Amino acid sequence: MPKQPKTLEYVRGGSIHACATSKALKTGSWRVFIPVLVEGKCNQCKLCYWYCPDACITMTDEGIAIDFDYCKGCGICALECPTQAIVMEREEVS
Amino acid sequence: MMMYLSGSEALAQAVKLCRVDVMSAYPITPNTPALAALSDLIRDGEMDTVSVNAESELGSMLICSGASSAGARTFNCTAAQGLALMKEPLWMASGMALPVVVAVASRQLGSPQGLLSDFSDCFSERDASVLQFICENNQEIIDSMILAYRVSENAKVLLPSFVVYEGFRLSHSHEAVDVPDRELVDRFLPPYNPKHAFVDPDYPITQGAGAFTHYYGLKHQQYRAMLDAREVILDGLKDFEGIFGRSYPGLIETYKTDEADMVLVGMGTIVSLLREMVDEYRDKGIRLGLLKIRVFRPFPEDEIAAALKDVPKVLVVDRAVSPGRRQGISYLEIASCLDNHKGRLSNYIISGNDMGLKEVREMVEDSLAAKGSFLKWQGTVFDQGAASLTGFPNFQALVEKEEKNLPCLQEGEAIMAQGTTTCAGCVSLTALRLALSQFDKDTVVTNNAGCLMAASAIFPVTAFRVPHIFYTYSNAGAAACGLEVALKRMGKKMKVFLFAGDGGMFDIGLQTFSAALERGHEIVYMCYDNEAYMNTGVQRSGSTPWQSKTKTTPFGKVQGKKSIMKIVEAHGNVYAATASPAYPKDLMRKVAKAKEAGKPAFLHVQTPCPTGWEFPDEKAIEIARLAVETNFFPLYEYDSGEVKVKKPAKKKLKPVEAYLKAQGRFSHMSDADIAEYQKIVDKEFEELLRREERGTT
Repeated sequence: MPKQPKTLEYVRGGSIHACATSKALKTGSWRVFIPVLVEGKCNQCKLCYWYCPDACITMTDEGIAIDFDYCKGCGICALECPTQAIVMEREEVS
Repeated sequence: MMMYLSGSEALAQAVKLCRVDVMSAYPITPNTPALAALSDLIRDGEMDTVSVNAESELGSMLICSGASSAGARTFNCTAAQGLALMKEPLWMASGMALPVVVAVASRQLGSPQGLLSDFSDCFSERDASVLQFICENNQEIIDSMILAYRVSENAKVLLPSFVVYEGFRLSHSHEAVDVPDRELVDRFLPPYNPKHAFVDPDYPITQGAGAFTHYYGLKHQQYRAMLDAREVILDGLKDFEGIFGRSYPGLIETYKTDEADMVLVGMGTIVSLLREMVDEYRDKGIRLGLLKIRVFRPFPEDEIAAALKDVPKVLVVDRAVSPGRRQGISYLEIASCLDNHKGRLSNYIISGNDMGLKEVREMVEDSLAAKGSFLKWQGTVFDQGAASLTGFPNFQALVEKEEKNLPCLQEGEAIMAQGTTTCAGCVSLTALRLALSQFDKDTVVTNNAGCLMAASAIFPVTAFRVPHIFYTYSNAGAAACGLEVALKRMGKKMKVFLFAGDGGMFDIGLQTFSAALERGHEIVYMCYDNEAYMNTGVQRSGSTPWQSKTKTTPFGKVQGKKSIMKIVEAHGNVYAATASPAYPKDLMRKVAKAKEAGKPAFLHVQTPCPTGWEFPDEKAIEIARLAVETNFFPLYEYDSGEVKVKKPAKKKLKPVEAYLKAQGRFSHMSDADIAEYQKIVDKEFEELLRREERGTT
């Protein structure tokens, strides 16, 4: 990284010289219900991976993994899962 | 009657009291709660104004102009880019002496698209021969509306008026408001009975004729009418006090300015805080005074000159600036009224900043301590955290060392990152992610304004990993053409992908979109069709289907849904396809085909919206699937004349009732209406099949 000057300004025209910085917004904090995986049920059909609006599902060797930093808890994955491998539960707030 | 109303609700009450014949508006935050309140009053039979939900602000202002030319009393309501888009018909209206009243829910004029109010929208129309009443509170919204009609329609004036109320600070804030009785308003405001511009077969006149050398005389009339408006306003205010018992001193209001050591000058909501400052400092023995400018056009030159004549120090609090001049706009206006402003007039520029007592007090302290006059911008101009997030250091490295520090899209990475702020269960976002999965790093993404823009790139952050450019509502189609030709000219082999909602494609952006298709630019367009203006809070669009309830059709939409596919197909040599997020493989296949089509390509994706359609978040995909399985939204492709339909399997075909009953927006429908809907859907699907059979057209 280049040396940062004392006072930063904005790039003219409001151009953003960065990529994927929206990741700073952890939309997972909005969640009320949380998707929970039911072991041994996933058949890796990829439907939840495609349907998830927030790109929170990744395919793994065993099935899927959910990124809770961004999951808003909409429940589409659970409703659409053909093998009921995901259930929605009310999330306990610590 | 005292009521507890938001500024938007107060405005709606005023439109009702003023017996407006025709209103037309286009949804733009923050005018939307006013549109909803007006639609509710019409639905409940409380007012009989004809309301035309326009396709753009350009359209809405011309609908008002047309109605005013016919001799009707008209109303419009807008903000920011909306007001900018209606500039041309606005100047036409004042030139044609049409007294349209436009409520401006003032908002910063982009780019960047701001949301706060700084009067940059209404002040940009300073020279449009439009009267401008600036409201301090919700009471003034009602009172200024009633006054504005009376003054605008006066034979000595005959010019449009703005009633300016600050977005959010007033539009969304509730206050106790004295709503006058209808009979009193009728006494104050006579019916509009124009003698200069109307339509009558027995007295056929011509309006708006071109005038070449005679422009001079006609402009002089506008100039004179605007000056005469001052007396008409003062006359109106005298009557106003007699009839309503509330008094307004004139085009300005002064508070404790006599023998004041320093006078604060402001407009709009900030005045309430400045008034408190005067009291606070007077208690401490410091003689502050206040000058409030209530009418910006015509500008109260003489009143200001008299009020500030002997004041040793004046602090002008300004929101809008005129780049190229050092001081803010109202400072410049005020300085030009005074014989000797040098050395005693100071200027604080606060732009759209929300101010509290603390900030206002700091301003006053600063000004009291200053020797001579000064000019300052309030607060911190550059937020260091934001500047860092925007990658300013990367920009510096590029400028100073030609270093490119941005990571390009890597294998396995999505074009759009997470952290996108759509509502939970937004399958418009699903559709966009699926579509983008078919593109690589050699892609430039652009879009019209809409939900997905607001969710994916709001300064200082962006979700994109490829070049992305945001243009506003009406113009993205044309801007994408500019991108496409420039990239080709510069030898960059990149795909141009444009996404827009139904408002951006069916309505306000249709002209530039159609022109782009006709010229044959190689652009892939995706319309995420959630069947209303969702980003502004669910208002009717050209895509809203028959019977669907929205905030501007609280009784259900009377008209049917526009067929954007048929419009696109009519351009001939194009690829067009409908798609659904419920069928991801089909959607991605069509996007891949569109990308390689070698001609303009369009994807019409229906995207159920839990917020606007009223169903639980998790059902968005289920409802998208139902739309296809009921033939409500058939999946088909059009390729330069050939139509290919994907028919649902017979065992999966469902009655349209199953689709309608799953959504709150259709909950008011009767069984007869549902049966009628089935007939419409069947007829449209049969027509589609016939088009498929006919083959190349």
